Amino acid sequence: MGFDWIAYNAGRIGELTLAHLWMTLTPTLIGLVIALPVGWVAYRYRRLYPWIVGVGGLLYTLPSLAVFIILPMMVGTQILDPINVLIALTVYTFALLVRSVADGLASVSPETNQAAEAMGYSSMQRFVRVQLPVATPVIMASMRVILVTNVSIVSMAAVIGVPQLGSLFTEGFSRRQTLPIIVGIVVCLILAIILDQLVVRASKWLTPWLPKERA
Amino acid sequence: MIVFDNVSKQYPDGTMGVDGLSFTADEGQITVLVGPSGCGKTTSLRMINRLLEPTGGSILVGDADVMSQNVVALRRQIGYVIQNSGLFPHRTVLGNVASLPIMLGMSRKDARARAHELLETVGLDASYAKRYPWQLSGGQQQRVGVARALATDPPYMLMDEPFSAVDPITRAQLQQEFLRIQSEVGKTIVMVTHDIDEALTLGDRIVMLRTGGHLAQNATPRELLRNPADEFVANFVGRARGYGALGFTSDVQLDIQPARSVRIGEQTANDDEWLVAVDDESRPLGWLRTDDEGIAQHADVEHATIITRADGTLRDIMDAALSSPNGRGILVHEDGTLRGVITLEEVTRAIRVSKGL
Repeated sequence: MGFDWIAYNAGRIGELTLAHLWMTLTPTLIGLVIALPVGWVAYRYRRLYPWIVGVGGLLYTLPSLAVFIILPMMVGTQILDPINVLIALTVYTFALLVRSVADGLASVSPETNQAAEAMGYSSMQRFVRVQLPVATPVIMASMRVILVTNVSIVSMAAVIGVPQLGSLFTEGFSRRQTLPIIVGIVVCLILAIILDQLVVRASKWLTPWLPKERA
Repeated sequence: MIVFDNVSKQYPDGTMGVDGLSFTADEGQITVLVGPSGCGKTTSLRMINRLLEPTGGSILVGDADVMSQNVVALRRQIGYVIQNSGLFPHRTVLGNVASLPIMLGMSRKDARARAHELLETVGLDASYAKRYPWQLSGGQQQRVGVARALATDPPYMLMDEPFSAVDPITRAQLQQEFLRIQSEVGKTIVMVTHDIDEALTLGDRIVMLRTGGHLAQNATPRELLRNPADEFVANFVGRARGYGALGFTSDVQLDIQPARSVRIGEQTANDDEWLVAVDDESRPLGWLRTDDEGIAQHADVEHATIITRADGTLRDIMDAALSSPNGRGILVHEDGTLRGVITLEEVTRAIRVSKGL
């Protein structure tokens, strides 16, 4: 067993990689879309901030394996349905991101906010045109952590039989083979590095105003 | 026109920020709200564009009560400039100035062309257009702030300590340029400052407030200096009452003497006296002491002398005489050419006359 195993399984490894990628990206994006308005609420209504951020922190402490198993009971999905993984990861993404969004929005200086308000920007226009762009570096820094974390958490889903790169781990364990495990780890690692670099690039592209050495 | 009619602002805890304030900011004039901290000047300013809302009385902008106007529509006819500029950190200088016009539907091309014009108006070189706010000095940021406030050509401007956060030299420069811009645009401006000198320099009218948001005096700068309403006003105006009070044009006829001048490059007479050195267009450069049959040279000119216009204020003319190495101030015509010289004695005589002594 060696390179011929890899060559023989290349097609399947590719499929697992794509599944892994999809299961990482979809919940990350959905989580972001939910975290933006909720983070805004936490920023705008300071009394709600500790509650929203607190609940976020609490959600993040839930063990992923337990969530994969409990979730079907709560939302009535099939236990092997990949949707469970998507929901769980969406929750994690949201939990981590909501605080960054709220803090990022709050990083706009009071003078800038006041000037925008006095210029007749509605609170929606301030959010879209001023606060969100200024918060981008903070949000993007969190996105890097979240994407890499999600690449790793997705592999846990192999335990409940949802195919992705984690499946190579369970297979390797059950057949006492090291190679599938190493291949799984390496591909996960490459995936994480590529996604991380994509976020770094996107962040630089979105924040041309930042001093070069900080971006 | 902006009218305050018995305006009050009471905070939920019962303290009064502004108490029964009435004044009128006339069309095309600069009205300065001045007073110590806690006098309610900024609170008053922010009630005009409804960043704060009055709890009593009414504020008219144009002909309508601000509380009956749509808040966004109200704000869009009022430019707003604040102490630390409040620029958008993620927008270039040009982007900051063009942002509101673009949001209101002006084409990008037109908005940018207008922004370029405005940057020129506020004296910012075109090379700064593509920079970001963090790459500018405080003074440059304030210029951009003023340009941004002018972008939609609003009839009104509110300015909250606009020149307080810059160094004294930049401040004086910004103040003079601001007066030049205002003479071109003629906005109805309400400005807040804690600096009485700034108020006297910039204000057409000064509304002085005392702690607790009460009106102390509403007067032109000249009236404020000549007839302070009470001890509080007199103390606040302080030393500006003396020398500063000379800073108004007077109608006293001055005895200006002809000056003996010498063109740079010409032979000077060898009789040990002070001559006014002038350039080829007869614009004075400073005093020059003649000595051994020399040529009048740039290097020999005493540049420390202040040169001022003959129709300037007594304060400027006094400065010219005081800064002169021989007690005679150099005065120029409107076009900068030599008018004559004036002695320190003549300046003090004019001051006595202007004070009716």
